[in-house]
Amino acid sequence: MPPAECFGLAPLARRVQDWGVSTGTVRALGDVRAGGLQAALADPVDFDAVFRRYAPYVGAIVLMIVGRPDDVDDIVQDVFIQAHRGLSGLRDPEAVRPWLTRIAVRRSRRWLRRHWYRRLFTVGDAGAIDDMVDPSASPEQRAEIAVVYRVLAQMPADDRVVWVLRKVDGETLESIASLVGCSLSTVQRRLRAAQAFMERLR
Amino acid sequence: MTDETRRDAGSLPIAVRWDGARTERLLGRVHARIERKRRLRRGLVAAVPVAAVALVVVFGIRHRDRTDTAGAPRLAGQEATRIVMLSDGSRVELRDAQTKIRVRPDVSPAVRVDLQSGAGRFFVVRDPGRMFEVIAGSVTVAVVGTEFDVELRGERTWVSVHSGTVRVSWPADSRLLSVAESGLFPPEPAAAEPIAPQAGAGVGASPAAQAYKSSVGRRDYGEAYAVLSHHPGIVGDTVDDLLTAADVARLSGHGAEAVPYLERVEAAHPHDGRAPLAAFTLGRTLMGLGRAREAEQAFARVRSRWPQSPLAEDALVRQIEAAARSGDLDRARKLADEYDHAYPQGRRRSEARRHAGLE
Repeated sequence: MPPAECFGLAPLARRVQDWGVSTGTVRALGDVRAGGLQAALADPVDFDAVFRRYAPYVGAIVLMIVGRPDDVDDIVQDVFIQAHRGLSGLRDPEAVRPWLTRIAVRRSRRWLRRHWYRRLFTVGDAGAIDDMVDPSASPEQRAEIAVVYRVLAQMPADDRVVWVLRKVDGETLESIASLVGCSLSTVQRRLRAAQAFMERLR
Repeated sequence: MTDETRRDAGSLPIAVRWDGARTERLLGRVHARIERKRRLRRGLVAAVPVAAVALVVVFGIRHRDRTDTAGAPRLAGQEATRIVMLSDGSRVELRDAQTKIRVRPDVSPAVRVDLQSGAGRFFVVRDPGRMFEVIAGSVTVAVVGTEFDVELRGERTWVSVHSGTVRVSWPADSRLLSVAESGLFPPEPAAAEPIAPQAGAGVGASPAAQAYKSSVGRRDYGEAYAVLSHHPGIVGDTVDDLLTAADVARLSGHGAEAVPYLERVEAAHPHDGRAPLAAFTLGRTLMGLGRAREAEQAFARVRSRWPQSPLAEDALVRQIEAAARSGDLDRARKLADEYDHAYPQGRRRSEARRHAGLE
């Protein structure tokens, strides 16, 4: 069986570059302008093509936010089931990526709120950490991810989502406000609260 | 994006393991779930006509009983002689059997109710899209969404507000009444001011200020703006006060009124952590008003006055957009180059270049 490919932050960026797209970020996966996507959107019922192209990207977003590899598949399914209802309404291929990102962020936040008790079991779960770290990561990086997600497990869901999008994913504040569906001042307030929480517990 | 953020963003090598088999497995599950939902929906669609017929039968029986006993098909339940349900969901509690009201036909989407005698309490469903008016003698009470009493007292009309805000008009003038305020209209010359609430008013806060605060607390910005526009003095000088007033104006659809509040934050509180947010919001508001050149200046100030602000990157993208919209494409392109230089890995690079006409 061939080894599974890794889609995440740095690894994903490398893969995108391997495919000949000049970008250095994870999100650029959604910007891939191959003919397949145009064709898929020209035929709105070709949901499968959109799924195959974007499911790994959505999976990376979801994993980054919820931090539980075992639950990624369920949330990815939820994202695409929701997307299935609105896909035929999209006309602009460039709108697909931000639209799916928004659904993924909000679905992940909803999952965090509903499964708050499960987050507690992330603490010290070495298997879960192993499953979400790039195999090429150093032991220090591995330990850093474990610490960060241990603290995130204690953090309120709204603050956590904003912090991850900003500090892990590098989104701008305005983009976060759009993804999460709140005002800029709310994003700043949540970010400050999350940062204080992080510094207190870390 | 700050340097610290850039460091953070690159420091966590998180990866989700994915392969084609996982994609196909998940796709199969998604299709199965979609099909299940579709079958459920079909079942519900089939059940709706049956439920509708049952409802019509039940409603018809109740309706006939009510008409027989009270003679007023729009009166509801046990209190059939006292409560009138209006078509928009609002309701009127008639004080006694002598109270008479009449709903004027053919004024949709507005609702106009004539209080012909007696007194009633009005519970108005909030709907910014329609006007709700009660006409009592020479007085008209116009509301957005609230609860209030109206009583005919000879030539004059008593109005008392329990929640929200109403505008009371009479041939010579009009007045805004907020929560817990009441008055007899048209007023006598000596009794022009509304009567202050008796209980729970708090010390030092005017009724208008309380109504404003209460509306803001409920995020009812339309109502808050109605109070603010008549009592601009209730806004203090703190950053919180000014930002709240700006939000009330913006979110109630009065963007131009937000501009002075945001400018005051920027001018009077430049060292406050929220000053860059105020300047950025000012830029966005001006853009929304079509004042692109002023907006560009506001975004430029975010970057020049607070270069370390986490909003600096967003401000640059917005500045490019504003420059392009004001017709200065050369400047937009220079700014896009500046973006490339300042944020080589920036998430909004593509957007910035699109605004500048480079993509």
